[in-house]
Amino acid sequence: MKHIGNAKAQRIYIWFLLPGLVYVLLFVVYPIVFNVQLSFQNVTALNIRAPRKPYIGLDNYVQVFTDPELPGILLNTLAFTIGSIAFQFAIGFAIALFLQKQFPLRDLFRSLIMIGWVLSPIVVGTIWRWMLNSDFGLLNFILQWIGVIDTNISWLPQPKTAMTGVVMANIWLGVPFNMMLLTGGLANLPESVYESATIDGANRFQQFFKITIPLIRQTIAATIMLGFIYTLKVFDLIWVMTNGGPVNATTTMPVWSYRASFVLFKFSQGATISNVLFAMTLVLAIVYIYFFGNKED
Amino acid sequence: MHAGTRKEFSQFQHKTTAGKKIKTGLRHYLAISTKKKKIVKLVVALIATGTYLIPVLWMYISSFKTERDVYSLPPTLIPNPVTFDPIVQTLSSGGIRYFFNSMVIGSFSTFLTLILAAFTGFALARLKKRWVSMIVLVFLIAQMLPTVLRVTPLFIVFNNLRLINTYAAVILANASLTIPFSVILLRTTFLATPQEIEEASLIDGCSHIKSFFLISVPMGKPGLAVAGAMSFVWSFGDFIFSLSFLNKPSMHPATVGLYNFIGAEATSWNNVMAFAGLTALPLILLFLIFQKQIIQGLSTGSFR
Repeated sequence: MKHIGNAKAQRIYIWFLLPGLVYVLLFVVYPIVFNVQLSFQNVTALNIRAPRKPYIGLDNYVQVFTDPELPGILLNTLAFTIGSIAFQFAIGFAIALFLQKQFPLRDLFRSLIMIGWVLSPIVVGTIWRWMLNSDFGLLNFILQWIGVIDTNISWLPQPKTAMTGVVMANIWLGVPFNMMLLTGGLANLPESVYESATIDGANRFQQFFKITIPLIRQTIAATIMLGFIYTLKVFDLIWVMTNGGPVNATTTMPVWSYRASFVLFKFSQGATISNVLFAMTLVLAIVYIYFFGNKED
Repeated sequence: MHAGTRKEFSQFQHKTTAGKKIKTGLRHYLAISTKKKKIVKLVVALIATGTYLIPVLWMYISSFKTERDVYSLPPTLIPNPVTFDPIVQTLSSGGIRYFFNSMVIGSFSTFLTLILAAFTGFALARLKKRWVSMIVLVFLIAQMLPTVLRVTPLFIVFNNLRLINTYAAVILANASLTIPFSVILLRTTFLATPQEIEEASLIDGCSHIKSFFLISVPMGKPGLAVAGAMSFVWSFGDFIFSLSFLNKPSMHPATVGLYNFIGAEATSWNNVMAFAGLTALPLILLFLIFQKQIIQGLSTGSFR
C-alpha cells in the first residue's frame, strides 16, 4: 500500500483525524478538566458570571464525603446497578439463547425486541409511570389478577417500593442491549461441538453449562462490565419517574450531581459529585478496556 | 438441513445405529417432528415478545382512549370508544413545535457527527502510527462517560459564551456523545473496507480528499448508516442537555415537553401516552427501516 502508507499520505490523514479529535478535546476532555477546577472553587448561581471565583481547596470534597446522605445514595446506586444488571442479563441471555434456534419469523422477533432499545429513556420512564400507577396501572391489575398481591401497591410514591419500580423500568430498557451483545457471542459458537456432545450423550443442561458458558465466557464478562458502565450513568429514566424521590429513595450518583447543579444551583457541588462518579466509571472503563477492548490491535 | 434437524438426525442415528436402512421413514419422522417443534417455538417466541412489548402496546392502546375509558377498572384492552382526541390535542396544543425542535436538534447533531466522525474514523483506520491506539482509547472512554459529567461544565461555558437558549448549545453537547461512538464504529467500518481500491484511485492521480469522498465514503455506507441512525436516535431522545440549556418552552424538544406535560396537574394519562407515543414513533420507524444494518453494526464492533 504505497500510496496509503507513505509519509505524505500519512500527513494528510493526520489532517483528517483532527476535526473529531479537536471536538473531543473541547467537549469531552476540557469539561472533565473544568469539572476538576470547579470542584476546588465555590461556584453557585450568584457568582457564575464573576470573572474570578474563589478557590476553597478540598471543602467540596469534604462536604460530599461527610454528607449524611452519601451512604444512602451509594447504596441506591449499588442497588439500582446490581438489580438492573442481574435481571437485564438473565432475561437478555434467555432471549438470546432462544433466538439461536431456527424457526419462522425469528429475525422479526429479534427486531421487535430491539425496539425497546431505540426508545428514549424519557419515553420509557413515562410509560412505566403509567404502568406502575397506583390505582389504574396495568402492573397492579395484572398482579392482582394472577393473585400475587391482594391490594394495589403504590410503587413510585412509597420509599420502600420506588427503587423496585425504577429498576423494573431500567431492566426493561436494558434487555435488548444485553440480548444483542450475547447474541453476537452465541453466533460465533461452532455447531459441530454441540453435535459431537449430543452424540456423546450430553443433555441440554450439560451442554449449556459445559460448552456454551465456557465458550462465551468473554462475551458474558464483557456484557456485565458494559452493563455496569452504562447503568451507573442512568439519569433521564430516574429523573422522569421520581426525580430521585420520594425522600431520596431513588437518588443515585448522577441524580445527586444533577440536583446539586440544576435544582440547588450549587455548580461546584454538582461538579464534585460528578468527579466521584467519573472516578468510578473510569476504573470500570479501564478494567473493561484492559480485558476486552481493542481486540483488533 | 437446519441445525436443529441435523442435531436430531444424529441423535436418532445414534439411537438406532442403523440410520441408512430406515432413511425414508426417518425423513418422514423428521419432517413432522421439526415442523411441530418449529410451531411450538414460534408460539413461545410470540408469547415472549408480546409480553416484552406490553408497555409499548399499552402506551399506544391508552393513547386511543377517552379520559373515562383510560381510568376504567378493570382496564379495557381495546379502546371503547376509539378516539383520536388525545393525539389531535397533543399535536394542536404545541406538540408540533416540540417535534419540530426535536427534529432540528436530532438532524443537526447527526449531520455534525457524520461529517466529523467520518474523517476521524477513516484517519484512525488508515494511520499507521504507534499512537493511534492511544487516540482510539480516548474515544472509547469518551463514549462510556456519563453525560451528567459534562452538563455542569458545559452549562457554565455556554453561559459565558451566551449560548444558553440556543439550539447550538444542545447540538454541540449531544455530539460529545455521538461523535466518540461514531468514530469507534466508523474506524471498525473503514478497517474492513478494501484499501486496494483507494490505492488504485490514488495511483490514478486522485487527490486524497477526492478519493475519500468518491471511494471510501461509498464503501463505508453501512457503517455511516448505523452511525447516523444511532446519532439521531440519541440526539432526538436527548433530555438532560435540553432540560439544562433551554429554558424557553418554545425551544424545548419533545422529551422535555413530555416531562413538563406529566408534571402539569390536570393532564390525564391518555393524553400523556399520546404524547409519548408520538415521541417514540419517529425512532421506531427509523429503527424498522435500518434494523438490519443497526443490529449488524452494533454486534460487530461498536461497543467493543
